[in-house]
Amino acid sequence: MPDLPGARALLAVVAALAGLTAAGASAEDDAFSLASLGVKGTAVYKNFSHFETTRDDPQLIRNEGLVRLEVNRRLAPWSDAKVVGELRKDDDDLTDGVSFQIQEKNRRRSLLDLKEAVLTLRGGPLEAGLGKQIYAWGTADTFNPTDNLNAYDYLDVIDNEKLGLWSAALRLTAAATTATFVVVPAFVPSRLPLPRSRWTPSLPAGFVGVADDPEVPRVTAGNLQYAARVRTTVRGVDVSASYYDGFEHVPVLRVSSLAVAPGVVLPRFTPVYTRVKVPGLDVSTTYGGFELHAETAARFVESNGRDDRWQGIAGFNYTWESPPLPGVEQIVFLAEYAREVTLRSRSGSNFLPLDSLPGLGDLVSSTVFREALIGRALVKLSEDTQVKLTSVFDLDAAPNAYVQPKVTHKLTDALQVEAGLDLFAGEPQSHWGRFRHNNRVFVFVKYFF
Amino acid sequence: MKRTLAMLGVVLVVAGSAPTAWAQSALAIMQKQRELHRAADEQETLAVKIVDRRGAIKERRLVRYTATAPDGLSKVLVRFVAPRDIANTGLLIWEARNGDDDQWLYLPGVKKVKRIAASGKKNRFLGTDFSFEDLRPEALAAHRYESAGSEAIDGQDCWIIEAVPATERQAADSGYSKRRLWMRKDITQIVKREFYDAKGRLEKVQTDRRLVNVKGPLWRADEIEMHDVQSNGRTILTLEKRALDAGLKDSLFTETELAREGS
Repeated sequence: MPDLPGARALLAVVAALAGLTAAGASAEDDAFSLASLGVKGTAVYKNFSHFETTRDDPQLIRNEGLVRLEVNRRLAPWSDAKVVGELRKDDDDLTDGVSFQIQEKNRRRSLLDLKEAVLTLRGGPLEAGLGKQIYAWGTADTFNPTDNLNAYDYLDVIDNEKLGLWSAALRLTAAATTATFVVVPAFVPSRLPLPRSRWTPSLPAGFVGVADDPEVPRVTAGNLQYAARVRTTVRGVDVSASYYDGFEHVPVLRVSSLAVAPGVVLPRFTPVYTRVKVPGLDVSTTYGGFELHAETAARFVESNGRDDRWQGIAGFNYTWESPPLPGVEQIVFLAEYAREVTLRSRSGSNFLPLDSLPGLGDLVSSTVFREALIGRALVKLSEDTQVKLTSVFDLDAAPNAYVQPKVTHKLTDALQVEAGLDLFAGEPQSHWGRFRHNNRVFVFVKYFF
Repeated sequence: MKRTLAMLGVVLVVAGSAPTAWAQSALAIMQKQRELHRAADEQETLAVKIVDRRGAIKERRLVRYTATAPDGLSKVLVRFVAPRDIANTGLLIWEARNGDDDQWLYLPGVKKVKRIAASGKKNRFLGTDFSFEDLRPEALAAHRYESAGSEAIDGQDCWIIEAVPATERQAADSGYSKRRLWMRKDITQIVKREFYDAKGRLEKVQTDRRLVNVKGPLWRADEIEMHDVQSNGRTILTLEKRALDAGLKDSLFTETELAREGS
């Protein structure tokens, strides 16, 4: 059951949200409306109801409330500003106080947060973006090996989201070609599930060891991160080449030993972040009714890592307009195949191989799609109602899968409801199977104002 | 004087009775129409009213930017500004002479620009009764045009021109087996279009209303209605603001601009 103080705080957020929404709505006809100020908002309520508890997490139901306000302003013909702020609360301790950090290291979310804050300056073919930004590189839908700049909030592994990144971006556009250069002064790690979360696998029985706090790279000149991408269109084919020189956002475990008493030595695990160089390539084109895409990247370890890896994903989208099915207006199909290959493994490394500690190894893996088949069918029943079925089959180990059927219905242009299931299947040690106790129903209500 | 002579030429060709001459004249009329009403660039803010078969109304607002290069090929950027759930969703079209346009869609929810398949052109654009291909400039090289007589609309004499895909591939990519176009003879402007589905049945009728002479020989409709006669849905575009030849830069028609939110 949700704890009552948390639920009360959540209600307060939802009430504030409703107040803001009402203010926005009542001001709709007035000259002084939120929209007239260039403010757009989204209010979201989320409910997750799990079917069973786990060994470490007795909470079945989680409620979340979120209000997001976005302000866009044209400061001059050559300059824009965009600020996105969030107010959020939940009853599962995923939020904790209010914090503002350039290098976000908090394990929990801030009650008040600056999601994006970007100042854009333009001059001729050049454009500079300065501030907290979200990037989206790559052509694949499910997983983008070339999209390495932003960290993620994985407090809920499935309902994850990108974290804004303080950075400077320079874009040069000439005809069909755009070149982007990004510099990131402060590394931001991904926010991992909390220790007693249902998303954190329980440690094997009898396991004894010392777990350190993560060693997050400090903000120094040596830890600057860089990325570049050149994208162009040639004869109906979009091609991008990219390069990332920075840190993986999910840590690996460095193994050492610690003498805790004379003659008593325990293994010591320190989460550290691998510095990598990642050249990548992605393409997209069309053939008949198909949109075809492929994306690939090699991840070469520079420091604090064990394996050089190659990742690739390829697939297609196909839209079937007016299929001969009663009540169905359109079906959009997506199919993708993802693969990862270890190019080189450093023997004698003191970094834990990802699969060496059953259950735990995968937790700190950034390689969800080692070999996977992804399918998605988006069935549009009307302009207001659609059903989406997403499935990911992990082929790397014994058959295991994640399936999400979801219904979205727009009650009005401003009010939308989503409901669905997250279902996991497979052997306990398999990638998706270890979450088999996390099957759940979810309901989201979104209000746009 | 030049225009008068050109028009006279068109009329003389139309007056010929041989089928080839008719076909040539229909294409000549279409070329003339495109040439006469082409602006170097154009920006329109449109109110969109979607009325479904039950009479339920949805309202949207979009901005459409168009620029035509000296080679006659256009680039189009369409961006929804309201309602909030689809605001910033954008469509970018780079016209190709053979009709195989490059098209990209920007979805703000995932902050991604996605290329759209050629046959995706027949899909409906964000719940409207317009398909993606209805929003692109007329692809003259991708169609065969034939004259189908004359008829008066609202007291104005019009040529009727039938347009069919020029090749089997273009037929497969298009949602229409045929279109019938009514073009006013006095201003060489299309005022009505009938769209026929793959089985040859009438699917949609587009009616252009409130025609205004915006500049020189350029005419525009301030209200366009697309009526889906099969589903009995309607989409009405009403002009709120228009600017012609404002000097839109080519850099507006890029992935970077397509993905720009809040502008």
